Amino acid sequence: MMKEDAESSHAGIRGLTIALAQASGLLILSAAVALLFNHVRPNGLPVITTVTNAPQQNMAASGGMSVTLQEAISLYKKGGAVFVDARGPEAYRAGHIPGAFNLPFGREDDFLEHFFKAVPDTKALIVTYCDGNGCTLGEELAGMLKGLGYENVRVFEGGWAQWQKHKYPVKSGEKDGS
Amino acid sequence: MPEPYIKQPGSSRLQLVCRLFLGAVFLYAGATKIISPAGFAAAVHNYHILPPSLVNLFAVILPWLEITAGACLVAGVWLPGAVMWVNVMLLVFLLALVYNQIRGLNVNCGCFSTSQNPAEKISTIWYIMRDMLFLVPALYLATTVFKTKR
Repeated sequence: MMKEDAESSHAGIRGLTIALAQASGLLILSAAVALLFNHVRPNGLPVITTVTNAPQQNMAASGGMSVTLQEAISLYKKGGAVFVDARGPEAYRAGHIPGAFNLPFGREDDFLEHFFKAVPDTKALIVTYCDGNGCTLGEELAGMLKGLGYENVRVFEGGWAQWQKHKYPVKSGEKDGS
Repeated sequence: MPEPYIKQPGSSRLQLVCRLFLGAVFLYAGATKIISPAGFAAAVHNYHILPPSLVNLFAVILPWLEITAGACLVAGVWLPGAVMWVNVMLLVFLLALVYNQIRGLNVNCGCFSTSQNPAEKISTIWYIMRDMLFLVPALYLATTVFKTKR
């Protein structure tokens, strides 16, 4: 009985060793294929990201231009940028950056015509934002606006949460940015 | 008469069903992520767990690990290693989902697609339930791999 227990735990350890060895092999194989494929494909990601203070490397989708809170507030004060709110109309009505347009991502069709009329200049500096708190709709919207021909689109990643937290001017109500 | 202590999993019909099911799930999950690398990287970033410098590396390798583990499960090769990875991945995904659910973060899971359209936003609870559902066959396969008592 005791001998059997010892043997079985022995076998368990052996099984675990085999599994770990195979798992390591699978990881190495996967990493090799992944890195090679990523290197060869046209839309591969930059894997080795040198530590800079560029906030995110993953903004490839939106063109990689993000705006900090300080930049956002200075653009707001100078009036040099068109702010675009990617949140839903309810959130927008409850409060937004003064002058911002509302283009709720996913429901933008009803809003785009007005936006095109109000911002005909495709070289205008556009700053999109969402809620902050992990909402990526600002980036999605920026990517979409770029696809529509606007050349200077940036994302204020801190978004509404950061703006509000620092008690910058807010506006509530239906229409704005018109 | 000596019986082998490490039974090769995949011998019974139930094991075969579990292997094929999980293998298909992981192959599918990996493939959808490989199609859109930037989208998946954004989803990983959105979890706010990994430091930004590691996000892309993780986003590049993980889908291929899913593919190789899934392929091994389907083909029946290197099962102990593949079963181990499948369990580790499902547990890590589960922890990440639960962690963000507790933090109250609005996370788009990025599990099978990289689309972040809010119209198809489903609650994190559902993702957690589904992950736990996948863990059942995964853990079962693990018991057949690491069986120590006969």
